[in-house]
Amino acid sequence: MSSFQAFGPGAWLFIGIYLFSLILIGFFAFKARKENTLNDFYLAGNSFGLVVIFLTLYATQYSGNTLFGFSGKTYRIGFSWIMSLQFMIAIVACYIIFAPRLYAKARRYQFVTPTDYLQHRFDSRGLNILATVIMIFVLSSYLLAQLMAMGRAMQGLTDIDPAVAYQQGVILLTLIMVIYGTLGGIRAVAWTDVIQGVVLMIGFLVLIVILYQQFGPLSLATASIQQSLDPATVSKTTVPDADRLREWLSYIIIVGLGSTLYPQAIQRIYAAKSERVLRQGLAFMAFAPFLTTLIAIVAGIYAIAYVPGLEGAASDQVLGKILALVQNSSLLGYWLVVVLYAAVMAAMMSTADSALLSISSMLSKDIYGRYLDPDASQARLTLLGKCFSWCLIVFLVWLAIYLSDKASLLSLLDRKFDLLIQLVPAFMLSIHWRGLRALPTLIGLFTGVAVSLYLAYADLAFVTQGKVFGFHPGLVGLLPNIVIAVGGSLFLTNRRVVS
Amino acid sequence: MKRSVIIFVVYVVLIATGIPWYWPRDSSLLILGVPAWVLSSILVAFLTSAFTAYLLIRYPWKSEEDADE
Repeated sequence: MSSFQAFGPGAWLFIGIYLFSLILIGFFAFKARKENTLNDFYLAGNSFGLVVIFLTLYATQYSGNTLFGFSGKTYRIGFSWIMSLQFMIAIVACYIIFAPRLYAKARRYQFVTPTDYLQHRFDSRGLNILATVIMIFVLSSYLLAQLMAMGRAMQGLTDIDPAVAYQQGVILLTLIMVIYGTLGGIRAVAWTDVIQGVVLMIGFLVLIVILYQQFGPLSLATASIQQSLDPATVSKTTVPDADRLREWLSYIIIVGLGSTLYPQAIQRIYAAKSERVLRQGLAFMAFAPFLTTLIAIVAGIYAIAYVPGLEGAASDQVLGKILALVQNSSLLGYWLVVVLYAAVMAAMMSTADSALLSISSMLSKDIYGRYLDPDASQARLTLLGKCFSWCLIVFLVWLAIYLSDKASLLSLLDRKFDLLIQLVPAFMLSIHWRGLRALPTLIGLFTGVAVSLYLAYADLAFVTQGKVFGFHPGLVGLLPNIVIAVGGSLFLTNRRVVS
Repeated sequence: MKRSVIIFVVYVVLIATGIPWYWPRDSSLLILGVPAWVLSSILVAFLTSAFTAYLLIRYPWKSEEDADE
């Protein structure tokens, strides 16, 4: 198997110009700020038009994990990972449940963070803090996964030792990201998302061209897999078994509901210029999985056929192995791979910067501003948000280097949704049902999180590969969560009526 | 029937048909170079996207006043 050829000076110049342009955008965004307030820094004064809202949603939603993780997962389980196409569409469908009302309320009451909605709706200190802690934890793990993916993407691109390349990749790309993020806030993040979104789209299109040019039609790859002498390989084309089908359903529900509750996703709802823009942006997003997820799956299928033998965490690197084959085939192949790697960096940075900005807004407004110093000025909170960003990123960079070969990208993804989905009653149910009360919602949330984590990490006989009969622990935890939230609210309401 | 119930039912049908539980396990039929059950899932996924986009563009959202009712 051919190995990856380190990039030459021309390729590095191209990537260098691209990365420098991001910092430049951060500087222009800094100059474009209208006022030194949280709303301006974190929501750009609710000014996102259609192109910006679509590309920022797109670049944020599709991360390094989409390219490397999804092609790796396809490599491991085969065509069944077509389920990812459906769960990425489910995300957009789930926005319909609560985005319209949340957007209307956000505009009326000037929400900046997701917790602002909870404060408005429940006015419960306990619920605010627990929900904020969950969201910060989830986003931090998401950010960590992106940083680790940045390091992995850099391995093999240079002649230096892979471990050193990983460290330098994490540090360099993170530094660029945090500079433009703290300079221009959401405006810089969204403007860079526009470039990153376009580069990412081009990258995916380039990838499909590369694959076809290198390996021929997909039918040859499928036939090759079906003719394999290894039964495990052949099974990657067959109809999934019952466990996998349950997992399929579980993924659609948990990713669909969970992804819409990412704080950075909620803040993008807040930031839209108008309801019409938001609706149109989301409508475009409904088709985005066909340009991204589907292509990553096709890459994984080609890899099963032509790059056999990778197992475990190494399978997350299968796309890199394919690109090595393409790169060594011709000069055009080499440059197509350069463009694709720029897209990979774009995907990771655009996802990571949004997560970082969102965490800083919650630390600054929801924790510090709400409970530690309620009299703090907007300028002070904005400055503190930037300081929190730098402190957190230093810690996460250290963690990403420390954990370099210790976790698969997808295992991190699974736990995040188990926690995020527990916020469904607090956000989605509460926005439609006025009867939902704060205390039962808080107890339900706590119970849901506890049940999910217990099922995920306790060594239980009926839990296989982190799933309960194919279902994510978070979905199981959501059941007692909803029962407590709804049952408790009805009980409290009835008691008040009787008394 | 309320429109939201109809929408919910349509999504349930789309999910139920998108997951290939009804295909025989030994099916080896290929269409356009991929297993037929994969192609059917992709087609249903496309229908789901189209339906979702239709709802987003055509279905009236609640106004600010409605949101507070």
